[in-house]
Amino acid sequence: MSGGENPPQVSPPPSGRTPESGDLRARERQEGWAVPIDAVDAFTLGAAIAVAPDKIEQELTALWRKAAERAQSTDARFTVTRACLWNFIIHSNGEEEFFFTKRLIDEMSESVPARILSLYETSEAEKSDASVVGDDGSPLRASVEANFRRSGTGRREVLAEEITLEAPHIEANRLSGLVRSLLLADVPTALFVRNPATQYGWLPRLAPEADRFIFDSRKLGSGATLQCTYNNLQKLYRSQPAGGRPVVEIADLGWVRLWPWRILLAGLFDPPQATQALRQLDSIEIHHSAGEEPAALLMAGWLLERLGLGPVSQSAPGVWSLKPEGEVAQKPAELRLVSEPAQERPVGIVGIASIELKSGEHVFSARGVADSRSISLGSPFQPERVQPVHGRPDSELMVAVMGVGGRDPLMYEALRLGAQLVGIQSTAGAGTGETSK
Amino acid sequence: MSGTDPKIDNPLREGLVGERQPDPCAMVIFGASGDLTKRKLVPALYTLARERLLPAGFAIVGMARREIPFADQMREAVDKYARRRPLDPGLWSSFGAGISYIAGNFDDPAAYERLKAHLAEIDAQRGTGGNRVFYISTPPESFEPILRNLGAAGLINQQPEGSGGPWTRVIIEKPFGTDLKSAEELNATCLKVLREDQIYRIDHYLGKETVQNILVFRFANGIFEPLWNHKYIDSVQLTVSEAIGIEGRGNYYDQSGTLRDMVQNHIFQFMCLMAMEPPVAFEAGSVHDEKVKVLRALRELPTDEIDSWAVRGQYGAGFEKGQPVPSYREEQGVRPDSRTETYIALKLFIDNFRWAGVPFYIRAGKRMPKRVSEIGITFKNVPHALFKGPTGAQLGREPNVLALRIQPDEGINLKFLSKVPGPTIEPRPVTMDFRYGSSFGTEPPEAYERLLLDCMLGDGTLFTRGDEVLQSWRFCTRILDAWAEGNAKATNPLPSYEAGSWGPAEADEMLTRDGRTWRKP
Repeated sequence: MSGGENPPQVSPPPSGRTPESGDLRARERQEGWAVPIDAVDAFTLGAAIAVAPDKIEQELTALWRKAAERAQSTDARFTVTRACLWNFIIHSNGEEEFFFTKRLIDEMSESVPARILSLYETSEAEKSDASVVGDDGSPLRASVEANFRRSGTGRREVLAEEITLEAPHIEANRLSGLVRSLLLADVPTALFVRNPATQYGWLPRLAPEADRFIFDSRKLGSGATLQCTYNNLQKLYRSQPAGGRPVVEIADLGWVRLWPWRILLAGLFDPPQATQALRQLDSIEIHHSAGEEPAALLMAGWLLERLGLGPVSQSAPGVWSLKPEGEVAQKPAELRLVSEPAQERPVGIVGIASIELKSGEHVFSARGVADSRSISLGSPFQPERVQPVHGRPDSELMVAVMGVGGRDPLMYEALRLGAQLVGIQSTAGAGTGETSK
Repeated sequence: MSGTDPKIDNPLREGLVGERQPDPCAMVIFGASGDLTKRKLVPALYTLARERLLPAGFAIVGMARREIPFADQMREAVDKYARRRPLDPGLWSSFGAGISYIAGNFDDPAAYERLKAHLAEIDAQRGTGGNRVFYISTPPESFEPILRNLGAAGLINQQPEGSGGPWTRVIIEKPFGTDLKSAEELNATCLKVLREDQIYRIDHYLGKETVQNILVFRFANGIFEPLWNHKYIDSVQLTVSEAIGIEGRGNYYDQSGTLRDMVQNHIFQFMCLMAMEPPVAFEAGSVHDEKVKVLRALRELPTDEIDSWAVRGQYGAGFEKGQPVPSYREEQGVRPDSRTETYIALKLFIDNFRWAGVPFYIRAGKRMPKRVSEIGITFKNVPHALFKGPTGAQLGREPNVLALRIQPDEGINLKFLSKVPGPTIEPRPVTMDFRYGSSFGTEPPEAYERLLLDCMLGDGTLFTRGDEVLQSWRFCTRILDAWAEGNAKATNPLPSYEAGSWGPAEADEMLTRDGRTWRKP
């Protein structure tokens, strides 16, 4: 098809994009499909337009031009401002992840206009009207759509584009070349892989294109997967010489979720007496809900890195001996990670229930408060206080990691030490540290 | 930042970029029963607490003449006016626990002794460490007794910050004087008990994100600063218009007028940020130095022909949003023969290398068509008209305009010419538009949040220094004196303008004489 010139060729609803599926923009999309509109109207309403994979750029150019023309008319209910701050490659494996992806992209685009390259790996081959059939018989489908936001006056502001490449069992050779050709020049590229513990065949080919690699440790589910993620990232990026190109920035949505815990915990140690107590730490105890072990390991990794403590051995499931390795901690200490069923204690918003640091007779604590999203802070040197912790949707976290929040070298150190704790645990043949209180 | 920073040694703080947290401290608000405390100050402090920007050791002490249930009133106020609502009961339990109140006359030394004892208790209970912010939010006549009594009660620590002891900072609300003489007197009073770096003269406009963005726009982008001078800029217009009238503040406003209320402080601050040279560092001293240089370079207006350079007006009856509104002289608290200006238009020149010959047109007023604050920068035209129409008429002679919008719809737009698609050459203006609200997707903080936090952090960059204030009064007082002389002789008529219009015709004529017109923001 040719953008806007031909009769309506709106793509059939891509699998799963129905109101029942919880798609945020289902209404607009449905509106786009329900009325007899042409491709340009459909584009400006956010509907997906099927295009031939080798004609994506041409189609987009035509669609943008036509959309801008129509935005000039007096009765236009939209404006057109094409903008792009990033190339954003996002991968979805299966329908469920794809729904999540669509929602994430729609919300995120309100704040960060980007060229979205959505790689949708379907679980099985479909008999479809695919635009192109590959040599190997696998259909590769492509569609384009506009992303927009509401302006202050309520008008739809069409501003960015989303390209979906859909195929069963994506093949790296074909896909990586196509994606590379679609990356816009002079803007950085972010690559979001929800679970990098999985060995995707295409990933090593596309990973070098990224300026920022983003994952979500909360989706990992276990310490073992966190360790696997760390190993894969090492292989993808850290074991390769930079070769003159900038080092890829690795960002984790889960790490950003831990920010309130970290800043509040740090605040407990501002008084000089508390800072001194930190140097004589006896123990760190982190309670987390089942399945949130990665968050607890990252938190532990951060504390170990900051305090200059190294894990030596595991004395019992979920209990590690630590030795001072830097200039801060002055004596050995103990780390305890305790997994609990979520319903027993409030777990805040990232699955951490409480963090307690003991130094002699002094106890410093941060605990999730029941029935409100708050953390209660206790210190012998400060008034007790309750601090609200606001849960942030994934789209906001994504916007944060695409800004300065995505450049935190401490994250990778915390990940390294978290993986190291799991490594010691594996070596000791212990369980996953799920001691129950 | 204060010199005694315990956080420096806290290893958990390192690497936590993006958030600044001040030292523990107590904030004493004089005039705590007033509207500002209720609507702005305490809601701003609550929001800072909610955003985890206040230290655990923090307390608010309200002080005013009459007994009031201060903590209860502040809870209501937070629930009503805070940027983040509704009030979080859990947070309030700890934030509210730090709120207390003392009733007392500002000129009664005994009240300050009670305050001193109360603050000592707070230090012991909440760990505020002797650090104090005194916020003077009272009518100007109370400034002097408050400062004098604070000093006499030993509540001001004059040791330099960084010497290891607790610190004292004082925030003073506007108006800082009503003319040069009163400002000099007030400044002298301040300096009897405080060092200059302890005085935070607040101008809430400087807390607005878009005002701060003027500096980022100019000094973080490479493409604009080379054009930012008389070689490329034809003229600059600064507009601060309000659709509302004086809103029941007749008694105050009739003594003040637009020159004192808007120009001497807010607009001159915009102008300084827009016109100043790059500071050697983004820190208070360097920024203030450059702002003062701009004010010192302002060409004095010829007082014998003041009306050609400073047009004033007073609104008559008219309509606001279709509703009839009274004239200024019919407003409550205004003298029926008042000659106080509700509108002013100024033509200024900054006599330095950068701005030689570039007029700065300033206007501010009430009961204008809409509420707008903006800086419009008109660039010089291309030297030669290359494009011509079928009749030989020159095409493409519209200048480029860069508009920095402070409020509302904060943002920046650039107007430039582009070819209309088609077989002929037809240049037409188009705009590139950046809007804060839609580009960052986050709600900017309230000006008071930023300024209160900066003061607690010891950062005076967004406050005004004594010499800045005096220099701007020096300039404005000459205009006020010339007007007063004219009033006495009744030689200069006071032009009137219809409410809901863009000001008196004389203001338009001032630009017409220069071959220019006011922007329609």
